[in-house]
Parts: sequence; C-alpha cells; structure tokens
Amino acid sequence: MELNNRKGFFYFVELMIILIVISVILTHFPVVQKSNTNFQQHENLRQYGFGVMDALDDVGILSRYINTTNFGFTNFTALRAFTQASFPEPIKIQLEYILNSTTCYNQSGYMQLLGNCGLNESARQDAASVLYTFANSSDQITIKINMVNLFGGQAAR
Amino acid sequence: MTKKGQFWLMAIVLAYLAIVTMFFYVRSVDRSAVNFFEPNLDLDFQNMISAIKTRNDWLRSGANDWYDLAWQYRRRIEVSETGSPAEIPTGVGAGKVSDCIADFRVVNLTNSEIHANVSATTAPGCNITIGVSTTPFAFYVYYGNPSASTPSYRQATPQQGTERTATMGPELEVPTRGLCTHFNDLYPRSGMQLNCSLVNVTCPTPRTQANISIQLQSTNFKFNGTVFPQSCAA
Repeated sequence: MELNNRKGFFYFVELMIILIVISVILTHFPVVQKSNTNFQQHENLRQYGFGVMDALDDVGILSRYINTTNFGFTNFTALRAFTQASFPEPIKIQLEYILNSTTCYNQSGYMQLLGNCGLNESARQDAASVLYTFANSSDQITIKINMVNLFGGQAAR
Repeated sequence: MTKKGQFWLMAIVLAYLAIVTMFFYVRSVDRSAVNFFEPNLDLDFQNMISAIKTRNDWLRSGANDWYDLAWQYRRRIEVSETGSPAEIPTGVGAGKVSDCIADFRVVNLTNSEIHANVSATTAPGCNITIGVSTTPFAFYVYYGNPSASTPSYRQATPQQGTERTATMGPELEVPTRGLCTHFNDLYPRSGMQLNCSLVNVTCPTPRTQANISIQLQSTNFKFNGTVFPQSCAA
C-alpha cells in the first residue's frame, strides 16, 4: 500500500475514520449509574459497612447477641442499636439476617422466606449493600447490611 | 506500503491506543470504568476468607458444638410426649444414609451420646426408638457418615415403639462444607464459586478440630488451597 497513490490514501482515510468512530463510541459510553450516589460513594459505604460488622464481630458484640442455639431468640434490637451507633448520623441502615440460605430475618426479628428479603430496589436505588458472614456457629449466618447516606450523592442534572 | 508509511501508520495506532488507555485509567480512578465491565468482588472475597478463618478457629475451639465432623448432617428434634419406648421421627430423606442403624448417633444438647435404637435400616422411615420419661425432650440426631459402625449399645435389628410426633428443626450441614454451600447460595451470580467437593477435614483425630481447605474460582482469579492453615490441636 502506498500512501501517495489513490487506493492507499483512501485505505488510510478509512482506517482513521474507523479509529475516530471507535473513539467516539468508547468515550461516550454512559456510566451505568442508577442513583444519585456514584460508584465511589457506593464502594465507600460498602467498605464502611463491612468494617463496622467486622469490628462488631471482633469485639464480641455479634457473639453476645446472636443466639447460636436458637437464632429466633437473637437480640435483634441490641444488634441494630450497636450497628446504627457505629455509623455517622447521616447514614441510615437496615439489617437483614440470612440463616442457612433458606430463611431470612428482618432487623426486627420477623422471620420470612429468603425470597421475601431485600430492599425495594426501585424505591432505594441509592442504597449500598454488603454481606458479612458470622462464622462462630454451626448455623450459617450472614448479615446483610443496607446503607443509605442521606447527605451523600450529587445534585441531579 | 513504504517503510515511511508503515512507520506513521504504526505510530498513529500506538498513539491512539495510548490515548484510550490513559482515558480509561483516569476514569477508573473512581472505579466507574472498572464497575462497568466487572462488579467489584473485593468485599465478597474478603468476607469468604474472613469467615473461613473464623470458622477454622471456631472448629478448633471449645465452642464448637458439632458432635463429630465425620457426620455430615444433623437435625434438632423435640418431643413433648412421653413413651416407653417412644418412636420419634427424624425426617431423614432417602439417599442421605445407607444404613441407619450403623450411621445414626443421638446426642443431647451438650453432645453426650444417648443410647437409642433405630426403627428401620434405610431412609426414609428411620425413626429413633428411645424411652422418654420427661418432656419436653430435645436432642440432635447426626447422620451421613458412611464409615460409621453400629455402636455397641444399639440393637442390630430395627426396634419399634409407640409413635410420637416431634418438632423438627432444619437439616444442618457439617460446619466445614456447610459454609462452602452457604457461600455458593449467597453469591450465585457474582462469578465466584467455591468447589465444595474439596472441603475436607485436615485434622483427623479428634475430628472436632479441623481446618477447611477449599478451591475458589472466579471469572478473573483462581484460589486453590487451605485458608490460613494452622496446626492441628492435640
């Protein structure tokens, strides 16, 4: 291919157009974001939530209030109080407990099927969630912590 | 193509790639670009490793309440009627036990073995036959150990009694593999799947003290080995 002949010139122009088109497409990919909080804010919340649960486990709060013999007798009120108190005021939380992959307890201790757990996603798109597994038990207990930062996010455009 | 043409063509392509790379690098600072292609699994992986480590420590500790890790399942059962002897259902399904008489172990809530007989050889229909004088009477039945042999106190033939109803808890899997199964249920679409067939008890005697060895495979990394291996306690 010679750049200084007609065929080579158009081949080169064609290549440049393709590169430009690809560039335009790539750079204009929309960032998938369904809420007013961006990914970094979501990730920060998740990291914070995991850290809080890990710390509560380390200091024995989870062991103290989770009833490993009969999970239904867990002190859900105390667990929620300790967890909420570990967050700054603007961050509101909601806890859920997944037991043995079959059952779910909400933060008030109400038992329901696993499929009925979870936030109403369309209502709370700015919520971040993270799972923390409490392993000091023969039961498999995972705490799902849903968090919303009331002062987080950015102005709508 | 002349050498000069080749040079400029290559230069343009390389410059283009450099610009695109720079663009995505800068944009990935807030992880948005990363998340566009791949969900962030850092915390999920951290949760798994942390839980397995904790479970290992728990299994080695005195807090471990599993009778013996060689038995794969247990179920809590509670009866509120007396019987002498009473025949109490266990809810053990077909395929979980090959020989109920050899396999079943009945223990109280503090893990002391209760001398009980069994009403049948093959599940379903393997009930516990035992004298119940005070109620409520709660116990665990352990099953799922193909290498177990019939305990000396048990009759080698099925023993029947007065049938009683019972409140049965859910079937729990042994804490080693149970944790693995739990994670696979928790993260079904995350791309991280544990190979639970590789979960094993690495401390043979006593089997209540164990480490969990697992294989973890995700879309972008593979982990194969024992998590935080520790020496077996004496």
